[in-house]
Amino acid sequence: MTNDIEIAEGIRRMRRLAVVVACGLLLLVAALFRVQIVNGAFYDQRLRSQSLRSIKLPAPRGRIFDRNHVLLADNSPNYGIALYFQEMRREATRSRPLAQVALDTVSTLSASLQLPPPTPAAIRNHLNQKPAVPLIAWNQLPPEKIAAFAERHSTRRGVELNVSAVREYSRGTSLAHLLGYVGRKQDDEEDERAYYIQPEMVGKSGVEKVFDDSLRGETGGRIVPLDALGFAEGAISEIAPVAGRDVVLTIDARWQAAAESALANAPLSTHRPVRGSAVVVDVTNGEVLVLASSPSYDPNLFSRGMTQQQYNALVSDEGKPFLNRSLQSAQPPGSIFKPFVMLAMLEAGVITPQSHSQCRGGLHIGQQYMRCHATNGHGRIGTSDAMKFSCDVFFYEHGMKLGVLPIKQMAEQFGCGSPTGAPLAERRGFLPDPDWLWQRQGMRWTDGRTANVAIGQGEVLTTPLQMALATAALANGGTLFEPQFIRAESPDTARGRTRGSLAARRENIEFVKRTMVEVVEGGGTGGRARVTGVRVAGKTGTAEVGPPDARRHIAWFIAFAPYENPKYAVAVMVEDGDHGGTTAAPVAGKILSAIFGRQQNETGGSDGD
Amino acid sequence: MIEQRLKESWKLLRALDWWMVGAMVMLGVLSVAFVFSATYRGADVPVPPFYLQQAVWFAAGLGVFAAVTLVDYRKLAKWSPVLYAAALLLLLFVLLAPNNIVPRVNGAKSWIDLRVFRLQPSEFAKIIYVICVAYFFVASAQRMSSGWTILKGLLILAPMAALIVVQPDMGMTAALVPAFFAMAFVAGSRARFLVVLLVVGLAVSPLLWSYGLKEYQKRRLTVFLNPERDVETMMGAGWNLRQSKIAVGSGGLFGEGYLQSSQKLLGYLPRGVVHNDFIFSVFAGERGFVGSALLVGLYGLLLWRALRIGVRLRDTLARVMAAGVAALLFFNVFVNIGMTIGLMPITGLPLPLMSYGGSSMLSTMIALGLLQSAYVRRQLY
Repeated sequence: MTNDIEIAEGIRRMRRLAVVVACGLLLLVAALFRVQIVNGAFYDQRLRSQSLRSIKLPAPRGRIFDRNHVLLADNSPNYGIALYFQEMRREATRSRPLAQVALDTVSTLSASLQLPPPTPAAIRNHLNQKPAVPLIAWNQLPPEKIAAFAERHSTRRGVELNVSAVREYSRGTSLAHLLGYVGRKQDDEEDERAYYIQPEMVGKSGVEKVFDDSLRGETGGRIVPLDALGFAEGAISEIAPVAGRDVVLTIDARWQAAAESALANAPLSTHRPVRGSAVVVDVTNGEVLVLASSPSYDPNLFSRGMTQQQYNALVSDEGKPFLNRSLQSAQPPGSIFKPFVMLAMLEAGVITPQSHSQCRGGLHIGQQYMRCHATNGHGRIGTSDAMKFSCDVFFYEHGMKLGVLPIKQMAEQFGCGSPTGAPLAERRGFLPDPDWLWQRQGMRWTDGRTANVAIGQGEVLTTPLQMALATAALANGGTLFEPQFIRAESPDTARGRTRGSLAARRENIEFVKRTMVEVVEGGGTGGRARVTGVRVAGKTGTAEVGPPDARRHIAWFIAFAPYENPKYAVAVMVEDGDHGGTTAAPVAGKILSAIFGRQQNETGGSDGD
Repeated sequence: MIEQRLKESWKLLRALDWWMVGAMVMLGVLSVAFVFSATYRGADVPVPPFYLQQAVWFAAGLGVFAAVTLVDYRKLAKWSPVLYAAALLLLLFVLLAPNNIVPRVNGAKSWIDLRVFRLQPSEFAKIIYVICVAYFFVASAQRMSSGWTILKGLLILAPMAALIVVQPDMGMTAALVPAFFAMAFVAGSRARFLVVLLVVGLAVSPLLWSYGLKEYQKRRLTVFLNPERDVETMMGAGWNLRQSKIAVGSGGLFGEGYLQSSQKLLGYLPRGVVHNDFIFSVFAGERGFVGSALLVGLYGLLLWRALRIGVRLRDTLARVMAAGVAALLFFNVFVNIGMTIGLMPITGLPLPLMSYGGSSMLSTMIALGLLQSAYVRRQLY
């Protein structure tokens, strides 16, 4: 029998036990508070990050057109077959697990369509890592395989035709350098967080790269919840991709084709394929109508995929097909520099239209004897004829009197030695001067060097685009434009962007232009550039490069037409050409005849520069 | 005769503690609802019949509860030795029976497969254990201040604990210990001895760690201590804990909504355990902090009414039994909920009345019935 004291004690102890239990329950509530309220957001974040995946959907890329809306770059469908393991899951049983179903499906399809299957390792790998997204088992299927698939397997579970876009350059190698090419985008930070990305293409060079932001559009995406095995359970939300914007170039595809053909067939006695460039600009606003560079490559190789060997072959090709010679080949201009030198001489008053020189085939300058290209000399030669027949002695003599700095200043006004402002990678060319020579090479400037500069040799370097724009500035009476590659949206912006105005007298500019007509039409060195029915003005140039025992020629020709009301300026450059008059001038002639729809007239013209 | 019997029974039942019954019924209803939710996989997938099974267990449990209430607990307690022997025999049977009757599940032999349903004897042994220990302490009322009494009490604990721990079932074995302390304390043992016993027990536990624990049990403890130690742990033993925490934590204040737990729907809470061991994860995730706090409150209500029996009644046997039952229930609630949030190591202990499972439901009902058996007779003793 228990007595009351013990009962009371027992009850007391029971109460204490109750307190312990109460404390325990409060502890639980406190812990729950911590997990659910204090750390709630943290766990919520974990929930989302482990169970939600983002899938990027690239937008259709904008197309590229020429100025007449001829399609240059487009997206063509690439058909492949995608395996959806999620669907196949329904067929899987204990004895025939998903991996087996997948392998069986692949081998059945492979046999039926006569296509080599992806390796079992690749399939297993995909199953382990990303089972929720499709595995593209085959790509770039030809139509007959697509048809066979559609006929025989369209009802098979877990396999579907997959369409993706491939960039297609409809003109092949034409305009390859300007257009550029696209390649797969390097995974960036954001992509790492995305669970799956359909391969996104990004511009790697040329217009594709420069205008990539506009062309690419906006990538869309889908958010998919994943279950613990990694399979998707329907999409939560989807953002439609926004198609890229089309780009319209100032290029005229027909003239571009004509220029490329003319360049490829340039009269040369050295190797082929031709290494050179042809540029045509609109003198009234700087629009670029032709930008040809040879040799070229087929950018479709990048879109469709090429073998390592093909790529290596292109990279190691001595002709450097990837070089955009129009902007990236800076060579001594040779005699095509003379119009600008002459303008400088006229402006400085060193010569007048009535000046003359005595050319006996060369001139002693200091220790050297500097030759004229005409070995026997031109005799007594006036200013206009000096341009027509490209007499070097005339330019040596009066150039030295002028001095190199005024020549340099005039050339700079024409845009030599600085970037043109093109949205592409370009070389800026070079103009030497005494300061540079002293600082860089510790040598004193000599008259001989001035003489060289006066005929566009020495360290002078220019690119074909620069020369085309300089010619345009001369042709339009003194406005230097920035090159335009994109067709303007409105007439206002079509006016072009000026880089500068020439500080030169009108009558001097006109005089120089008149001498240039004589070069082509008057029996001068540029006769092979003539076009029936159009008065063409131009200048030939044959620059010498390389060591004395291995001299090579750069054949140049610049022109503008029609003379009375200039519209277009042309610059042609051929590396390892024979002479400007024989190699480059005919190319320009062909281009101009294509532009004006007239016949070329290659007969006549004198030898020489 | 029968009429009289019925009349008496009716009278007894009318004296039931309706707060406790109310809490039990609430928990039972929640149980069916959340077993349903835990096995719900989406509108287009049929829900497996677990929740129906649970409803049957609950109904049967209420019946058992009423039946036990009607039994006089004192008379039942007198049968302790027999009950104890029966319990030991059953536990022995579980250990020795062939695998087709007692299958090895996850490496443990704990369940008897009776074709129609399965039974876990250790759940019932637990209740018998409480009755026996309580009876023993009450019978030794005069000698409660002696240390020997405690040691003798341990003799009741030991064989049962031994038979359960080798199944192996650590969680269940562990549950026996706080019940022992609670009962000894309330029965009048000197606190000092209990403290000594506790200290000795803690000192001995490292030995247990090295020699007594199996690999997976050790892993559970290391995961408990450091769940994010390495990827292997996170992906292996730590996976359930991690997913459970995410489920509970992302419930926030009001939860994701009934049936909406993403963790469950997407299969992150493993389907094998989500409706029993981790049912609280589903509940907390779907009802939020408000829901979980209320649920803990509901258990608090249940425990309060159980403890109150020990406070209000004069009878010592009732008091000690109430202490034992309350300790068992509290231990399960604390360990199960604690385990879902990383407060306690992962064990197989079910949440009383909520987790799916017939044996747990029935044994809890029997235990509560025992207490009510005392309560309804409060005038008598």
